[in-house]
Amino acid sequence: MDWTKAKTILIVALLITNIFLLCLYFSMKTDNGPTEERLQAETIALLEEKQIYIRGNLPDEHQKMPVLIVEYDRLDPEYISQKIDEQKPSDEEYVSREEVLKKTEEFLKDCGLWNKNVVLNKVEQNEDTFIVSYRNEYEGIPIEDSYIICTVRKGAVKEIDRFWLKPVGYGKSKKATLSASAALIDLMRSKNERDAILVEDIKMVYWLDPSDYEGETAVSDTALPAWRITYNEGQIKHVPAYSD
Amino acid sequence: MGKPKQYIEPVKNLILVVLFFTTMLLLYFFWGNPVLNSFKISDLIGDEAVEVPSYQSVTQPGRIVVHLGGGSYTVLEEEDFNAWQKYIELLQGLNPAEVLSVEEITAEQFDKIMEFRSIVYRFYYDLPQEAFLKRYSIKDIHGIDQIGEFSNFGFSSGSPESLFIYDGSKNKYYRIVSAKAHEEMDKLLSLVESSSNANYRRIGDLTGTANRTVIPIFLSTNMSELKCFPEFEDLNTIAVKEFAQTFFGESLDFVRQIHGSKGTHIYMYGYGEKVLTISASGKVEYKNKETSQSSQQSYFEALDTALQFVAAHGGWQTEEGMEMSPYVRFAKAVENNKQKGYRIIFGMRLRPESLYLESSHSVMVEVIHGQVTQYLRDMVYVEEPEYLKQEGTAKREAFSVINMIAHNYTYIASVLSESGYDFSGLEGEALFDAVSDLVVFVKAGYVKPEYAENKENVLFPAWIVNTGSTLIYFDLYSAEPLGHTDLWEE
Amino acid sequence: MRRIISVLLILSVFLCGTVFAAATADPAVTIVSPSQTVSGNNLLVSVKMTAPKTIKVYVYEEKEKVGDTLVSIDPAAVAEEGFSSKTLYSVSLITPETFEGTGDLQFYNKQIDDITPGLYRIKVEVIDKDNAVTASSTHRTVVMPKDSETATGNEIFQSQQTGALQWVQNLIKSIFKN
Repeated sequence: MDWTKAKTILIVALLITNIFLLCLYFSMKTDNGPTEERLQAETIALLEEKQIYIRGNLPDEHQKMPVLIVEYDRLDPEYISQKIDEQKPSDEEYVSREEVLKKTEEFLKDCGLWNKNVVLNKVEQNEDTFIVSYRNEYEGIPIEDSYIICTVRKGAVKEIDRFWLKPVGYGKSKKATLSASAALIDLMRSKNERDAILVEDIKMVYWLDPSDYEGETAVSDTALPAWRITYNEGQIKHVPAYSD
Repeated sequence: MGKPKQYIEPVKNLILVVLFFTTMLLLYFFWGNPVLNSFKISDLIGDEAVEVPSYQSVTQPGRIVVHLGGGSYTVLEEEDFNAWQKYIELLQGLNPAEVLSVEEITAEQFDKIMEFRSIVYRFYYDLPQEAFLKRYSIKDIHGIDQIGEFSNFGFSSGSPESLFIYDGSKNKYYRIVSAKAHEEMDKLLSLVESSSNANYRRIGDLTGTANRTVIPIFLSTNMSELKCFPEFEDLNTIAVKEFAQTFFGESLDFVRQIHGSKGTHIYMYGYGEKVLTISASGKVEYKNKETSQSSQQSYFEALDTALQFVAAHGGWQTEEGMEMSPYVRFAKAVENNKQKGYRIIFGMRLRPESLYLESSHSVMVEVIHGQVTQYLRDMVYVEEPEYLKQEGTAKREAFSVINMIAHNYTYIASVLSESGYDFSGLEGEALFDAVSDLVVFVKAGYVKPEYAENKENVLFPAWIVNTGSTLIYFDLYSAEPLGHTDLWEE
Repeated sequence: MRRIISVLLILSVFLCGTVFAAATADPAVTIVSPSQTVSGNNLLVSVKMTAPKTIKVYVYEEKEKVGDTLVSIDPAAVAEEGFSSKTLYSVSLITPETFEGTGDLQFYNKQIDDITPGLYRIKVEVIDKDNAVTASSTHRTVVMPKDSETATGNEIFQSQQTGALQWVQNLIKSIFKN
């Protein structure tokens, strides 16, 4: 057996294979680009035919995603009540927005409810009452429906409405997700309304619907990737993102 | 060139290795992670062959009653004398040319003919006629289609050329008259007569009422309490995960998993179309709300689907403990969203005695248009040495059945009132008579009550009283009530 | 005069009837089984008690003397002639059993196997705590041979007539049988 000759042949063969694979890889990558854009344009046109209009651009397709394991983090109402009572309200007549945010953050930290997943969502003011809403985010992806809503008056938190899912970790494997366009097509199919739909926002989130399950109190759960579509002045629909 | 040449080979080796690894790497990037993860030995070798019981082995009469004459009866177990098989063979051997007629008879005529030496095979559910005839390859006999469903089958030495059928759905009796007498059945009766103890009597003979249900006058047994174990004790084991996986394809990685505060594990697919719930006590409930796209099945086709489904989802035996024999205990036609199917309750036999669970069933399967829409599995097992230990103990006399009913008739009446029976205005003897008239069978078996103070996971030897759609349990020796099961409760 | 009438009454009670109940029967104790006529080779005795009582149960076979031996009575003969003309000798079949009933409803039952056709008598005594008999009831039954049903199997399926017509038919049959 002439090993030297065999090795030379093998090297040449492997080299050709590598070059071939590299070319294929890059051609596929570049192929996706324009195709995806054209697909987007076609989808937008199709949706507009059905009276679904999109503000802005559609987000890019997400890579494969795993599930997110979460635990229900429930408040002890007595403990929170006590903490609310312990606060000292501000003496000032007027409390600024920044002051309110600062106070709320302090309060949540004091109650042990503040962590890196707590992200400010919005602040609403109605005369002397501020409604401060926080959302839940894990590694940049929101977890829904999970929130903390604080009602603040005179610089002190008067009420807390909290539904919190504590992220524990990702599932073992990843699966392909629907593109945003496909999710919108799904929305279109499920909508029976004749009115036009103006899509204000479409974003990938981790989502679970607690009402799907009725029974004993849940301790842990699994949030699955979903496209959250906000349309027609604040209406929200979640479309499961795993393609089957 | 000597010196460079001796470096060429090692360099070539190095290049070869590098190129090999880059090829592998490129292939990996090309096809991504799942290649490695989804590679399973089982996909190559195939799943282990799982035992599926045959429809014949699970379709057995609930009771085989032999009348030896003069109101004296004996009851056969399924394997005694191959009695049921003999009758089936008789039916299969019926030559339509030799059948003279299939005629309806009255209940009185049936009772009278059964006064002779006779045998009745009682099913406690109805076997649809067409499906039964087809599945058992019984030839098409003119006139047999007037029978809607087969519930009881009989033979009497007083009319040996006849075979008797009772249709429970229509409450009608029929006889199939042949030209020749069925000698094999007569021989069977003689065999039974010479080798059995006649210790069963009609309830009516004991109480002065009309109930023809037979009960034992006495029972000498060494049945005792048995320790039992749930199939799934710890839900966090690989065995449970593999079991759950059978419902959702290859992997549970994309199935929503919820853990409840009481230790329940729920697996949910989609918007809850498929939900698998395993309670901390090991009870399994699977529901599939998807609408089936297949066509309607006959009873036996639905039974086949159920047998296969259970074999593929948990199997018909527990991993540990003594072997048990499954059989169809009850079945009924159901309808859901305008689609028809069957709900089949399976029981488990330890040896001759059956196992009953107060709050559920060992296995229950609902099949609609070829799809399993509900699957309930509550399997417990008994260690064989513990079961065999009973045989070494002295036999005791069980509590008299008639007195068990006599002591508990008000309790039985209150249980049945919950199911809609009306006993208002009845008390004392009149109430007892009304209650005892409703008894359809009484058997000895093992019961796991829903709540047993200080005795969790124990099987109690018990009398099982069936009044149609309710099973009521009493301690075999003390006649204390142990609980009851409403067979068709959702 | 009154005495003669009462004697005649008692005698007629003895002469007629195949079922003879003791003067003092306890209403809470009833012999449910056997019925007047049974067939087969075992005998079921079932006694219903609707109050907590203690009973003592006796089962006899009534035999007649033929020469020096006691023989079973032919059940066919009993059916036709009655047994009032015979002198009966009671042969005990079982050791008398005492049974203590509890609650407001209880059954005593016993199956006696391997009996031959004939005339049998069941006596049930109610006894108190001092073993004194407070009530007694007796019941006679005729045990026919097995498979001695009057109608053959196929006759059951031929008779579609009403009960009254059947009765007339049976009456005519019995008249002409003799």
